[in-house]
Amino acid sequence: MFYDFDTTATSPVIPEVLEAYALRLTEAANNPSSPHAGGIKAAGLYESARQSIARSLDCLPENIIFTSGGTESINHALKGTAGQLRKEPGRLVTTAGEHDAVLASLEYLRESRGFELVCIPLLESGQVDGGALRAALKEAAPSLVSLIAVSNETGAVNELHTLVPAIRRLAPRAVIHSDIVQACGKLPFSFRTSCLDLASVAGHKIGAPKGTGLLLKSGNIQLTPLLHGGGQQSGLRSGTVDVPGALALAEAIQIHESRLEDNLNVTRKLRQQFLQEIAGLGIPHQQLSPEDGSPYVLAIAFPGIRGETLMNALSAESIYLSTGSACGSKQAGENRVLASMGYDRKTILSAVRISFNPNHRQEDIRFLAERIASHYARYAIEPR
Amino acid sequence: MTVTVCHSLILVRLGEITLKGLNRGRFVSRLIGNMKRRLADLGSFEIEQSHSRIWVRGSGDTSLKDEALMGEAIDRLSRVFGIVSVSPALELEADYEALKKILVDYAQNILQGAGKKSFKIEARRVNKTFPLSSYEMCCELGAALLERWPDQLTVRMQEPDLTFFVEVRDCIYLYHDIVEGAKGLPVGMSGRGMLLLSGGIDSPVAGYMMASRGMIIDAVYFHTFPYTGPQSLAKVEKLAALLARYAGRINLHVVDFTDIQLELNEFCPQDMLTVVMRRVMTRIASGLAQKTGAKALITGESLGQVASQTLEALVTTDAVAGRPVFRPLIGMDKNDTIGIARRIGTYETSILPYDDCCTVFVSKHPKTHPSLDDAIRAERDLDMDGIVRSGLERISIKEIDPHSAARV
Repeated sequence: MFYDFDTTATSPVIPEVLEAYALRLTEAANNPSSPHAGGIKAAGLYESARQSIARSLDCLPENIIFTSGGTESINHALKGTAGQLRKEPGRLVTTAGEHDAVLASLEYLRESRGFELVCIPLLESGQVDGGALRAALKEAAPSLVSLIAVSNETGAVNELHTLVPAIRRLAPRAVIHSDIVQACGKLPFSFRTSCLDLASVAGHKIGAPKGTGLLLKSGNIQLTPLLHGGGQQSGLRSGTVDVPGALALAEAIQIHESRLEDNLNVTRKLRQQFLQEIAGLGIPHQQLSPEDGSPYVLAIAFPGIRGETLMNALSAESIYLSTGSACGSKQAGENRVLASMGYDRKTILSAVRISFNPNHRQEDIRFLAERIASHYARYAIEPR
Repeated sequence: MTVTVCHSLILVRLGEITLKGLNRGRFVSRLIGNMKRRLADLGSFEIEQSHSRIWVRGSGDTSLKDEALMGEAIDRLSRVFGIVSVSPALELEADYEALKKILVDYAQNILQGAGKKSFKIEARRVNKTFPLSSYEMCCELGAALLERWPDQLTVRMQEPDLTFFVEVRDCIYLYHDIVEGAKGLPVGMSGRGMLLLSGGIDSPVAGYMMASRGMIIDAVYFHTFPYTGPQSLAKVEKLAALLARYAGRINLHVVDFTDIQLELNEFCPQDMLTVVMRRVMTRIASGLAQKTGAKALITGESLGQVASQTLEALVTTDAVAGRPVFRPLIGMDKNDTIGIARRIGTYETSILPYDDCCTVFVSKHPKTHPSLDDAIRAERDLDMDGIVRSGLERISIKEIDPHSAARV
């Protein structure tokens, strides 16, 4: 038994999804590319997964590329787009709030292909600085823009429905990608109305098995494949398709979408409860996440105690939270997202990331707050 | 046709030990004991000394013909202090015709797919009843190899690619590979030392250096959970295991230091915190040394490297050590220390980013030249006997053996 307040890093497979997945591992065991009856059956199930996801995320079935997860989707979106650019080197625009998969891919393109890489700073709220973004777009037209929908560090939301049209106006020819890993299934999202060209999804963040993911691609976008081989998925992603994984992912997305509003309300209340408990217990704290961000992620600093110290103490009691993105830097006091929001090293050192989800009970939240208070009283030391 | 009996074995050369006069027997038997322990889990071996060398043979089901076993045994022995070099070798009866045939087979193994090579034969006849002289053997055996591989081999006396060594004693020994050993003195010949092990680069190197002079290494680590996490402890265990590949089994004493650290933090002037903390650690390490029979402390300090390693700071810790403090890195350049750490395989683990307590409880402006009086004054408000006693009571001991490096 453990208390999982680190579901931004990964989430357990949803029981219904697990059951269906286990069944399909044997039921849909054939290769959907095989022309025999087993293959045809698998291909049918695979198609049904595609249809289901298309309904949930409001896109066309042919917009969907199944991948191994967020990192692959992002790499494919960015490198695949760059592979199609006729005029090079072009200009790449992104934000300081991106996941490493985006920054490292763009950095790779900069180094290997000579692209210019522009990184737009964040506001104190954790959202991208819209003014700076517009200025960068006006300065020179980019060929590719990538921006995160919901920050995995703070839950800050970049409003795609206003930002994407604005980018389109200023840079009509730019390909626009969004990392929607922390948004999909948690906040309302429609691929069609988002006007995005590309969007990346990771299955394991929403209760599907690890090794599942999606890249959504609008019809008019050409992508160079990352993986070459048997030509599966219209030649865009070769490799035997994982039918059970696709079905599990479809199921997880469908479950999340059907409960989206309820889950949001419950999670909002849990987050609110936590902040009230912390205040009630008199623990000095500084909320780093914006008030109106995703309730699933809370970045909060407890001045006087290092995030790592608190994490270690709670971990010994089987309460798991994080000192920041599990993919990010392991060096204490370094967090480029919080730094870009203007927080100093001391604040960053004392920051933790707490993930809430609708499976938490109110008593779990109270317990977490009480344990933090107890450790704070024992281990906080005068800041020097 | 007669069947030739031919065994695989390991030839071990000794260095400094051979200089020891009357103590030599003790040194050699300690070394053999250390070698036996290091090989114990690989099988059963017979280890014996003769002609200022040590020979390792497989016994029972253990055969050094097994190349993987031979490789692992050579690797382990090359890390045993007191050994200058080791060679995998063949032992055959003192029969010249048999030697010629086996040398060709032996060379076949090495030359297969190896491309063009220069070589020489280095023969040595200790057993003077053997019909051929050393020179004759060199010529004839060299000719036999040339005849077999006329295109692949050329003879070269100065720095050839391959040297085949042939030693004729009661039996004939044949080898070509000489693997450098760890040198130094056998662990156990120079008493026992208590190593203050942190997670850094220096202390494992200091432990290695003292073990190379024959010291048995005990280690102590001050753990300040939750300021430092389980990963910091795992890192120290891994370093101890890497060190144990040279020093043999190490008892790692983990002191639960959190309450003491908090007490120091509260009652000690900030600019003297590091000095007092190190004096407390020294006292606890010393108390522990008393218990384990360690007659010296070992630290990785290097003069002037950081504020707490100035001469004045070292004087304040020596004052409470009650026994010699060995600091083998005291005059070394950091880059040279890093060089040793890389060579002995601890560097990559040492630079993992998990903090040790020193980086959490660090004052911004420590006193760099604290006098002993400053230190004594800074400890005025502390119940030092009580602190040291409580530290000695909160110790857990982990036995770290040389082969746990892979497991940690």
